[in-house]
Amino acid sequence: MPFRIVLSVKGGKGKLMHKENPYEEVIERSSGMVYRLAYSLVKTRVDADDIYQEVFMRYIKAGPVFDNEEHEKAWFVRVTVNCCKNYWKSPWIRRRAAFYEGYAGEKVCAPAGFGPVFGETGDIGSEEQLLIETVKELPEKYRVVIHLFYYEEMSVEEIGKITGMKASTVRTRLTRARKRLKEKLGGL
Amino acid sequence: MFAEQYKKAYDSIGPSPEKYKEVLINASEALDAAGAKTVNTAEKRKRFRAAGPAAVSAAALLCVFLALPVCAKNSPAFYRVVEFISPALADRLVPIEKSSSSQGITMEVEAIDLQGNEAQIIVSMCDEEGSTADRIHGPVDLFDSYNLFDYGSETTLGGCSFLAYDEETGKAYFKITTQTSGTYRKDKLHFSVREILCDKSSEEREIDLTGIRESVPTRMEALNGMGGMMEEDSLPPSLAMTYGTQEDPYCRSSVLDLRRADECAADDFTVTGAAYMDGVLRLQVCMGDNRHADRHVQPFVVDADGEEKYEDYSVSWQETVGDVSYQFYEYWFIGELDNPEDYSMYGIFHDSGECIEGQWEVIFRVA
Repeated sequence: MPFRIVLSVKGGKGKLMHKENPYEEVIERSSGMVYRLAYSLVKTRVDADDIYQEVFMRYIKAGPVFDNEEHEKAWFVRVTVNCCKNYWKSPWIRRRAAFYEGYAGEKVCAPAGFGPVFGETGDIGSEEQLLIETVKELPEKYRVVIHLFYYEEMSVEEIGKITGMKASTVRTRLTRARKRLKEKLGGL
Repeated sequence: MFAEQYKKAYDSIGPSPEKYKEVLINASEALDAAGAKTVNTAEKRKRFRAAGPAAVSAAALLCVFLALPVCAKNSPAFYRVVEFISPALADRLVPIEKSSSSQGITMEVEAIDLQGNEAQIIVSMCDEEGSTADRIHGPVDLFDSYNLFDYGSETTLGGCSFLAYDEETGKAYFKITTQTSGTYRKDKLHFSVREILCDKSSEEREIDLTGIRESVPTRMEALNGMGGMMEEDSLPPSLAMTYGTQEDPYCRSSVLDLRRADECAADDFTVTGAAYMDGVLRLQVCMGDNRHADRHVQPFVVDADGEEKYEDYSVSWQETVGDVSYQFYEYWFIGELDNPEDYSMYGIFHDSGECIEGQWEVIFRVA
């Protein structure tokens, strides 16, 4: 599926001011957000590294000028989600999925990127580790809304606008995701 | 409580300093290259069908010039491929440049990166020198028929992605990633390819959902593939699978019982039917005999606002009639489609042309 940027980018007055390297400031500001979102969607550091690099390659290629930080954040969220979707659609990933361990007792694959991968999140507490791994077990469409809502503190309407979903769809997914997490973690 | 914990957990996740630095270098180099961009862009775009932007290419090239001057120094062909791969990988690649010819086609292992039990290999395919057959003239596929063997490992798994076709040299480039059960030995490696597919094409077609049926007979089918964005245990009860046992290793699931294999084309796509049952939109397509082809479909639905939705899950199976083995796929769009007739359905149908069987193999060592 061809990649499409739905947000328009244009120059003009009142844009964000840049230092000597206009890319550096933006990359610094968006770096963590892009990486964390990518990691929450593709689940492994190796794949998150690729997505992270791809997103900034696209940024450098497109060279958009943002109206404000909100516009900038929306652009990076949208492009990161799209890059992750492309990742899921790639033949390599699809073939890995088709032959994951145990399906017919013939091909056995170590499916990096599928299922929880422990020990990748660095030196954090076991509770946080458990939480991350539990969220990773959710389908991708739930992980997007969970991450944007809880980490990026975006509203349901904002998530809908950025991801191209109706607010009601976002709300439904958030509710279903919470329900699943509650069953596994309690609280919420 | 959850929000705090989630934030705390994800606060610890971020790009490595090396990765961050790499992105900054790319940005910086892109700025430097911007001045030269206008001179080279048109020419590069003409030469490479899949070429990226000149600025990014220049950044990647500069990274390699700076980081890998020794091993790449005598390998101009090596520079032709780094435009299509990440600078991080380009830094680590070691040129090999060993080739093998079969069926009028030359395969060349251009470069390799070995890291423990994982290898990334850059391979090219082109018409053999002097050949007039013109078999390699665009995107081709190695059809999962490649293998990297080190005479010590028991199993190898891998994936292959097409990088670009260079019209100037007539070479099609690939990146192959393989993983073995143990650490790769560098002293003697054997890389081989058995089949390639040429003349791949794709076409978008609309699939008519008017009058879609809500009640269609189903049957349980032994699957040979399944996958999707949704986890299996999240599938609705009507699609629940039975898992394989030692006696019968195949997973089984419910599929639409519509047209059988002998009613389908062996060398083309046949949309065998669609249904909207129990809140699930199901589309079934027969790919024909796919043993020497790579026909596949990416279906999606579009609502009135133009929002696209992709399938949540798909399953596949085979039916054999005489000597022909028909490959079937059923795609499931689960929930959130209140009335499927409000949607338009499309599919991108990917077809492949000639399948060429040969024996391309090289033996090499990594210094």
